[in-house]
Amino acid sequence: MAVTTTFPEVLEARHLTKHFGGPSLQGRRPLPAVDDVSLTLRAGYAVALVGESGSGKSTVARLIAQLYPVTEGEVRLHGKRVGVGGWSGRRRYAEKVQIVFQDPFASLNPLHTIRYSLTRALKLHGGVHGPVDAAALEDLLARVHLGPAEHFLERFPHQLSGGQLQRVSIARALAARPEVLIADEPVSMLDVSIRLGILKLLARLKREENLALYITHDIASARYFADEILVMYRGELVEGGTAEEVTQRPAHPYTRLLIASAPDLARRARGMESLPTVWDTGGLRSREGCRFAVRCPHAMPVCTDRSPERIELGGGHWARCFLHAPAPA
Amino acid sequence: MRQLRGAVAGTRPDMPRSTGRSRLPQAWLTAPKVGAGIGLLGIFVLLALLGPVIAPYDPSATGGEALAPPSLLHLFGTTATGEDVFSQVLTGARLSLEVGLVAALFGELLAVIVGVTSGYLGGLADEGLSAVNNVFLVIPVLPLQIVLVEYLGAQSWVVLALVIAATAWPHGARRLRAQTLSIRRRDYIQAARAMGEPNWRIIGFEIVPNLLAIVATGFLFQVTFAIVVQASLAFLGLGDPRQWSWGTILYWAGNNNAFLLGAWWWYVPPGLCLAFLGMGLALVNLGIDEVINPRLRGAGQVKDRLPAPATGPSAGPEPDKDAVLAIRGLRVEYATPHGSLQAVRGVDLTLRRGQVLGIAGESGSGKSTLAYAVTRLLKAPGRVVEGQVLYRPRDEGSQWVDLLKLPPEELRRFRWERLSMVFQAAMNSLNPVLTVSAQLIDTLATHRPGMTPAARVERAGELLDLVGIDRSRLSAYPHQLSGGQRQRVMIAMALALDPEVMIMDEPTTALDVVVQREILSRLVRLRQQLGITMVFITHDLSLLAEIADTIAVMYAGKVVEYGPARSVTRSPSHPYTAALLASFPSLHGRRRDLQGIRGVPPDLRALPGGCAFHPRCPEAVAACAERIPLLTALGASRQVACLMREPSAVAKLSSQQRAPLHAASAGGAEA
Repeated sequence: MAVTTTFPEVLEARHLTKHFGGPSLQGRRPLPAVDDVSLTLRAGYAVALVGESGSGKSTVARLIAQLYPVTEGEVRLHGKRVGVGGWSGRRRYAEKVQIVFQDPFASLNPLHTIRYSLTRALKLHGGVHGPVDAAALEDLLARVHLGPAEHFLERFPHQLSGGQLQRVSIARALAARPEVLIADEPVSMLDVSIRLGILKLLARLKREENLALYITHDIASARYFADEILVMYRGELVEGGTAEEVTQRPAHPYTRLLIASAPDLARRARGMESLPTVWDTGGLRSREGCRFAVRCPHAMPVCTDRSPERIELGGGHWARCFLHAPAPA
Repeated sequence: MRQLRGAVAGTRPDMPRSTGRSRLPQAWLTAPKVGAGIGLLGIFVLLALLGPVIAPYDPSATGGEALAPPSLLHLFGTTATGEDVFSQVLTGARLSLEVGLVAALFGELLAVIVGVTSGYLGGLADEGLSAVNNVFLVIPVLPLQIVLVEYLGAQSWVVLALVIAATAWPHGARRLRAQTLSIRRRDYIQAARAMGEPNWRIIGFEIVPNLLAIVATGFLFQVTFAIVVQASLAFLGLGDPRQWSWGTILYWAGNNNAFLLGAWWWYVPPGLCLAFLGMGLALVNLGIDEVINPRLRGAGQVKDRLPAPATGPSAGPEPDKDAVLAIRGLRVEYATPHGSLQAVRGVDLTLRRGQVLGIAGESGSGKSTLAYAVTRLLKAPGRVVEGQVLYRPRDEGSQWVDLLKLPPEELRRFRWERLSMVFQAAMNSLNPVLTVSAQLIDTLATHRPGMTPAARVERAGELLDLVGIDRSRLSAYPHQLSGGQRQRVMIAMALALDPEVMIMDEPTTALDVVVQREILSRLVRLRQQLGITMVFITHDLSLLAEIADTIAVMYAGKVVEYGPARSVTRSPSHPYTAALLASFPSLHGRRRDLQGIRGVPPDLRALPGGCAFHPRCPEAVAACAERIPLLTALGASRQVACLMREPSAVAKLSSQQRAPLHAASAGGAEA
């Protein structure tokens, strides 16, 4: 595929699985928060993971950042398996892979000035010992369009707005000059009018600094700011493909539901259609087969029997749904 | 859960955040209690330093008059052997304080090491350390101390202090462990880990500074504890009875039956010293948090505290016939340490019966403050400075009432019965130990005492039907429901008393899109079924496009655009509305270029002059920085507050005033 040649592969997650907590007293293991997730991140290319909260997309972000140990599976950086045993391993990994969190108000230690937070990042990764050059700090802030620097450096986090804090968080991540940037819902807590600014900033960094970007998102923003969309439902990837393919020709019933649910200025004209789904099942899900089956308007007997395999739909678009299975010969 | 965290963090978007760093010593001293505490402690520290020097007699010198009551010669009287109690108290202060400080120093150090390591490392290390901690917690402290002191032989007070430290740390360690566990999960700790910070730095520079308040509190507590323990041990005769401390005085007093002899002057002064010292420490404890946390500095001291509801001009024309609620010239202020801050700056809105009014705005727009003010749920330091909230019940021939002037009892009845509210985090305000039906029935029982119990159960079932939850869930506890179901139960509760108006402040923001969609379609159906009037407040203008009849767009405490939902969202007039609409990525149609809005939402503490939006406005001209635009009619049904939309005003501007404020190319939102 063209994608492989244009955008060199940087990081690969293979069969990531994460269980939180051990088996319960009855010996039944809880369903994994993340189940057999594989994905590839490429330089200058953005992959967006979409899905509801609790679907496991943030867990995947943290697994890739190696903030949680994986239960099964592995993360490979440039083809080499990474394990973060010990501090030097973590630090070497941190030089390549950085993460930005959802809540800008919680991402910076409230007791430290912006200068302290950025200086630490530069000292850890910039090879700087001794005092950090003011120019380096200014440059860092300029890369996220925060200026003048003296306006921000001596401030405490509570003195900045959410959008400014998120820019500082991104600047901190950039200090390591990483190859991979993971952004876990970077704008969901920000005001609408400043979301685009942050998303555009990330898109520009991806382009100009050739970052491999992994971002979790609402599906509408993903259409605009990602090259590839992966849809996650209850710990599993159910559909994937180019952003335009997935949003314009969704194949999985869950993706369709997600798209139909998103508020849209264009919708009023079309009227409020009733959506084909069993609504909120209050946490109910089937243990066997497709996890969406209990809510799926198209559910067939086979759906609750076994898990659907990944089915290629052409052009890199795929879905895990029996609706798309070739008819048995 | 996502947006909720922000709400829990206590930063209501409209609430001012404190600015500036007040200087530490000032913060300490301004609180009168803390000042008193520091004063008390200062006296005792002076005593400890100077006591032995200024004591009028040798504390161990016998031979004076025995058991003399207080006199000018002996201020606190004398002991059975004629020693001067005053001199003993002065001399004893030093040892008591020394033991207290040294014991607390080591005790707290041990608590920090054990508590933080155990909380941060987790796993086996945590289990091991917690086990040791718990064992120490259940060992009776006093016998252990006695055994240790006997065994080690308390020749020096330092040994005694160390023994006390060794028995005093577990409480502090437990508390610190719990706090560390919670801090460890915060994003900035995760960020530091992702950054590759070594563990010792994370503990030392990220976690411990955040624990300082607790460490300091624990330290002061341990000082008190150690002084009291030292006194008790000395009283029991452990340690050297020749070394004067307040405990030693009590020991001799006890041994000589001072109580039976009525020699109160012998034991009351050292007792009072212990009590006052403890009080001083406790008072200082109160102010610690404020001093250490930069966010809390300056909190609690609010300038220009003004009395509650002052309402302004009560005259004015009667609102329209079909109006149910009319907000007139509403202004709301928050008193802050840096003067008052205007969150709502003169809002006029009319709510028509059966209508859904959507109020859209970002943080700082005043939309939530408006909701709190209208429902009179505004808490200090927020205050309505001016305006009216007129309401007319649906009954025939009823009069307009100003809600802001309702007496408390009428207000209580009015809320819920006539007007009900659903707030963003409402679903978390269900009582976790009561079933859904108990909570619904409780609301009914309070407001409809006449209803029979059977009728209440029936009504509770009906309410669940209304919000599309199966009646079988009546017996469920809140934790058995999903977030969306809990929010729908809250909506059912708001519907319980058949209100005429329902005000919803971001009712779906904390929920996922699919759940949000379901709740929205429920609300649309409810409105058709019950003809209920709704105010729907949200940051998501695209959502209002779908469910509202009329939209009011707020910016910096003012309504900047008002009109029918369809026409406002299709052809926005105010540059802010237009820019906001252009900020929503659409899933349908061609991918258009998304512009966004430059700059940041307004800071209410420092609003720009003229139109508050001018620094971010692509169309702004020089005059926009000077003139405050008024909400003016635009066609028959719409209103907009923008100088550039008033042709007659624009025509009168000089060419200088008409100069664009921002270069045309700078329209991007990235900067």
